[in-house]
Amino acid sequence: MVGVKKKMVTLVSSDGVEFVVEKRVAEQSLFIKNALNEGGVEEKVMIPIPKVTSDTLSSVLEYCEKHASATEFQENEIEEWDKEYIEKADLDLLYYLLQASYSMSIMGLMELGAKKVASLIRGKSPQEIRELFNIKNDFTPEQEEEIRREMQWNYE
Amino acid sequence: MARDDEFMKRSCFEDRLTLLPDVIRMHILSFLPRKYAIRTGTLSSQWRDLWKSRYPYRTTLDFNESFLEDKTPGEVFRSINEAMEKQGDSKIEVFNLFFYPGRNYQDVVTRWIEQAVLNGYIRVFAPNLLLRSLVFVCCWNIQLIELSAEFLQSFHFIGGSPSLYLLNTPSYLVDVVMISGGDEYFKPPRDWLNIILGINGVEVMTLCNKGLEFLFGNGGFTSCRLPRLRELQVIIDESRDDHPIDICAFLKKCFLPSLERLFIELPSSYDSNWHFNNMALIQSGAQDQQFEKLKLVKLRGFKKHYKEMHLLRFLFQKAVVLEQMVLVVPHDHDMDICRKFAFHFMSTEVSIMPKASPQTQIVWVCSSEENANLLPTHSCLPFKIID
Repeated sequence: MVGVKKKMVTLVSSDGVEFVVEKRVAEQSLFIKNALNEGGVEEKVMIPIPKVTSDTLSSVLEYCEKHASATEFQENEIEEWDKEYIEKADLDLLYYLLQASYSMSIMGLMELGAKKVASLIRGKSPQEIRELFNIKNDFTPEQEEEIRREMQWNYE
Repeated sequence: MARDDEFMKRSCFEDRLTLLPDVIRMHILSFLPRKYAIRTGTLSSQWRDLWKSRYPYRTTLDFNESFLEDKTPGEVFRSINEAMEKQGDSKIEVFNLFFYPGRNYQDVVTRWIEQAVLNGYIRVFAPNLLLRSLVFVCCWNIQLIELSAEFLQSFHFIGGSPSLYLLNTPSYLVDVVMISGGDEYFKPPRDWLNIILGINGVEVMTLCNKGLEFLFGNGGFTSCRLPRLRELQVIIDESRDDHPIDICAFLKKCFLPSLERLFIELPSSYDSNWHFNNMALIQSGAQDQQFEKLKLVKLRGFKKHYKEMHLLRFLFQKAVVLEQMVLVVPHDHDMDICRKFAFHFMSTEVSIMPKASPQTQIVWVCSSEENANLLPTHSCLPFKIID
């Protein structure tokens, strides 16, 4: 659509970096979509995104960009893209993406991230999971025994 | 530890997973097989009970064939039951159940279905489910019912206008209620033949005009046979309907050799633009079927509208052993029995109509004085029929 001026919005990350993106891209986030609807589209072009840093926001917007144009792609293309996108993320980024998808209400991204974490948990022993995610075992020996009995019942 | 994990761990020295909001953590657990979800309960105190609430944000409960893979019936049962318990009163949009309940799980399966139909779409496919009775009451949100239950004896539906598909023929169906309160019709059935075969043995039936249209419409009642039907109740609401079904034409065309009791709720008002197309049909031919067993007819909301008079004349002619014709007059109508003069006029007109049965007794009742005598089997329908 040459010559048609695209509607743009500016998103401001928690560390003050501005991202100018197309409205349709930003609207992949229900949080932003609602914010735009509330305050009259034309005036409200600066939207602060609390708790999301510029590094994370840039990655989130990469996802939004792709999914805003999802209709142009085959479904399996998008799936492939999603897979590669989430593979690239290390644990740190994965946490941040999950946090951001939650606070910005981007269901697709949240699902993608949650599935990735699930795939990391799947097939591991509790000790392996604790090591990977740095989870500290804070149970007393008595509690551990109790849990073990409960687990046995559930595995039956 | 796998290389993939080494990469993931590279930069992370804090336990941020535990710090994620519960909603996200539950979402993560919902993608895990039950076994691994439960296992997270041993990680730390912050994970202890989280797995138990991993379903609350789900609106889709899909227990399909692939869900059954590698599971014993006991495991399947426990998984579904756990999910249903966690679901509680939360909204279910899609409930897909593929489960053979055997004899042990009949009651539980019925409970699951009850829980699911409270909101949404339902698809029950339970091979050999010995489901005898299925009652949907005021299920306004249900869009689609797909049913495979060949031993079903009783099917009641009161609600909106869902699509209804029977995936096999219920051979034992004897009791049917179909009432749509919505503005739309029941969506036309895809498996029309099944439905026709299914209602072949029905003995007691209550339908609204939309239900009537659903079962017999379009074909002009050509293939309409209800050989065992003993009691029929029809609820006509013409005021909300562009193309109301013609009850006279239905009674004339449908083969109803066993009909003993007929109850008709007449509409509270008639659309003046409506044309009585089938009038000619009704007046023609003395060789039409007769009602050999019809003993009781009750018309509620009788207002002496010309369509009602036609119906009455038709019934008097065809019901050869009719014993009682009960006419319930609306309390606030100008024909109110209390207003003696107008009533006298109407009762005279009805009494001189030709009658095939000599012992016909005409009973006039004012709606405000109506008692509990002569009620249809489905008289306790939990909504107001005529307002």
